[in-house]
Amino acid sequence: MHRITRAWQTALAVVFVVAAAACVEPMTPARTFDDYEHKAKDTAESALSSVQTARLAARVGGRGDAFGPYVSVVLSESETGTAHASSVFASVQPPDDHADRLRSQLTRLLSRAEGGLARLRIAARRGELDRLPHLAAPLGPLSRRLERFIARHE
Amino acid sequence: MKKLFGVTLGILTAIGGFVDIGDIVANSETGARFGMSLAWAVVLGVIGIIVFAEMSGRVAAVSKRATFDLVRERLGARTAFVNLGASLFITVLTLIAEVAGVALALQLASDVNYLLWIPLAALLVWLVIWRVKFESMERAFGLLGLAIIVIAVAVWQLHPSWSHLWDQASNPSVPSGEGHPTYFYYAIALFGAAMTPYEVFFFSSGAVEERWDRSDLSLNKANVFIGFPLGGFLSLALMAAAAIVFQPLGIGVDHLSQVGLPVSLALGKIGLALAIVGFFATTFGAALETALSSGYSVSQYFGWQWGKTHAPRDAARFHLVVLVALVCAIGVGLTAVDPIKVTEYSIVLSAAALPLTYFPIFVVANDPEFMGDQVNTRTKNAIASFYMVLLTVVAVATIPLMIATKAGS
Repeated sequence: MHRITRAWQTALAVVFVVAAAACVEPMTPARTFDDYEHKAKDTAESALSSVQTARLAARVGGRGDAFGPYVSVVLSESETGTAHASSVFASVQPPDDHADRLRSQLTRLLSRAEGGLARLRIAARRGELDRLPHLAAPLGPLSRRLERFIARHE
Repeated sequence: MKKLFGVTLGILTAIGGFVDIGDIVANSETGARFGMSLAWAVVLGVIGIIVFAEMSGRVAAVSKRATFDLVRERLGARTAFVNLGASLFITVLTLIAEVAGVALALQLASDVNYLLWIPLAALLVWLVIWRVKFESMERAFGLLGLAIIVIAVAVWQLHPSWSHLWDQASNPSVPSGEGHPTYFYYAIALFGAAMTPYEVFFFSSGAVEERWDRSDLSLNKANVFIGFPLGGFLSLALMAAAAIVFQPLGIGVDHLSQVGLPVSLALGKIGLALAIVGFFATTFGAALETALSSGYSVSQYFGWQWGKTHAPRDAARFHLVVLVALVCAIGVGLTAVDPIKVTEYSIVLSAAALPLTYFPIFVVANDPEFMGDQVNTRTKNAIASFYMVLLTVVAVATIPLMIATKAGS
């Protein structure tokens, strides 16, 4: 019985440690170009997800199919999501010159995404929902560029 | 007629009460990422919770004893204490996620940051537990939770290719760009979301609170065999909505707010309003259940007076545990830890911890001393044994998969 109890205690301790470790979300360094490219692709996917979410929110907000506070929350979270992905990627040390070029390509795209999402969020917070489709128009070509970036580095 | 009304109300409550923040998050995330190819995991989870809840409801109705009372008797005080620790940890983790879910739903309606809503949401949960009768509380939030049916209506109104959805569901495969470990990690998440242990603690303790006896076994069957599969249907609707709208656009679900977009697209403001009401009611109902389950499990283990049917002064320690669990939920929630991540970990760890409570109930359901002529039949034992093996495999595989996939990232 004591052995069984000890086994349960060990299992419980493992669950606690893993749960705590998983919540920390550590940033692992990129030691090779392949590793860095993989992180760049993941970041672009995250940005694409936020941009596409914002385009959908702008569409429903613009045609009066959603409430102002709801649209504002969706857009604000999309902006925060892109900013978080961008800052996490910026903190990764590029391992070589090739990675430097990749970094500047993606950083330009992320910067445009952040700017576009901020404009949408500001308009939504001001209650200017009818302007959202117009403000979201540049995000269409940007999302296609992000898709091409992801496909190139798949 | 009165009995039929009671059974219908019970079924509706079971449907509305089935979905919680774990189901909303897990089904939407997997729909956006894997389409309908993980629908089998939902079906497996729903059958599992039917088997588990039917056994524990029957055990409670016949023996008049709830889950942790029996866990302690069957496993002994020491082993059951570790069992209690693990189960309580997961139940409180789920409570944190549910309270945050209530706050997120209020944020969607008000645009006021969810962190400001967390203490108010927890206070409201405590007040309802303190003041509202068990039956009224269970039915009000279960029925209000039916608003989430709007997701299924939205799926229908989005005019999807049904054959494509069916093809994805009936011929499951790992989508390109995704690995097998990630696919199975999310299968465990869906399984855990459908089979959360608190549902069984609440179901069996509720049966004892409502003084079920053998005459209520038909109500138990109706709730479990009709209510739960229809609740599972709502989970599949959440998955389908995400598969139809998000997957083709490359959108991943990271926020509760995104889950309302397919409804807004298909049904406009009225649909969105119902979806937000549904999010609020389902997460609030689940917050009540998890807070009460914390009190139930600890009180049943230590043999304290427990239950909402007793005046608070007669079950003071039970109410104290509920209050401490809610204070924990506020404290952790206010650290600004990502509520969606907390939800993901709670459902995955739930799956890992399931054998801890399933096994003792399975043993008691076969014990003629407790159950008399209501022991498991051969067919029930065959299905329950299959799930015992499956739950053990899931429990062993969960932590390695969590590490290997960096929690599905």
